[in-house]
Amino acid sequence: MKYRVMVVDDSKITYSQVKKMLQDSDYEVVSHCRTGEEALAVYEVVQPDVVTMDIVLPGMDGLDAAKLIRERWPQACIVMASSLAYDNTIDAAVAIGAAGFLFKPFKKEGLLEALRSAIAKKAASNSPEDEV
Amino acid sequence: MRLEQPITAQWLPKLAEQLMRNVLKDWAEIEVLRLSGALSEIPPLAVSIKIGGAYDSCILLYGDHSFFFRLAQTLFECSEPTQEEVEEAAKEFLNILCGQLISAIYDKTGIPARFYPPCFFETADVPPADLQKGQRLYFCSDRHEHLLLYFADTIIARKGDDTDEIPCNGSR
Repeated sequence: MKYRVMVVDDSKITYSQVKKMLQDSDYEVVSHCRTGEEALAVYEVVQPDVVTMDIVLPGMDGLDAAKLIRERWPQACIVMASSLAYDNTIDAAVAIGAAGFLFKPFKKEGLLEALRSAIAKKAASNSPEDEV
Repeated sequence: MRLEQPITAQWLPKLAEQLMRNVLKDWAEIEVLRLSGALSEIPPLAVSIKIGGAYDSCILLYGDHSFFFRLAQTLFECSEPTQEEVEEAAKEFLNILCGQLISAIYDKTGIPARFYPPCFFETADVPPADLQKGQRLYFCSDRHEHLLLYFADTIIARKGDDTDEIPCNGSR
């Protein structure tokens, strides 16, 4: 069974490229949202295994949308994506509990690695603690 | 504002040129060369992006329709992209260029900024002559398409006690 991916990006190019990169992989794109507000509404219905979230979005930005999703669904697994590749942005992503960061333009290997790592982190945080 | 490293009036255009060439080549398989002179005619379409944060600025890319059309053909992998797809391709390209430019400025100066979703429009709506003082870089592609990259001068550079000031003009 494939992991279900929700792509949040106002660019149809990113959605189309992610979909293509994930063909024949363990992941499938099940939803594309173009705004943070849409992502909040759709997440509740789709409940994806992992979300890729662009930072620069019309209206609510991706960091705010990710923070709100994580507040409502603490188990949400979100990989932030942006062409802004410096410490402040990455720090902000870490602060809201993002599971990873993708730099645009990304390549297939980078995308797959980011998704694998995010899913693995989610699985590790969901594991029951060892009994003493 | 104390900068980690000084920047000069020449550094930014050189960086912009390098990024234009690298991003277009790696991402869209389009080669461009910077022209030493200005274009006789300004290309008819444009895409703009506003920058804000520790400094305000804007970047505009003017281009021939055939350039943006070809960009969309490559990025959407289709021979006949729609007008909406042409605009999407232009906006996403400027999105990536701007992000890399801001990141490079941060790496050198420690000054952070962010940008906003880009806009696509016709040159007649924002002709270059109406733009405030800034840098203008002219390019020609491998298929003789013309481009003009404009960015407002908004960053102040310091070299020790001297100030190599690029005027602060703010965004449009």
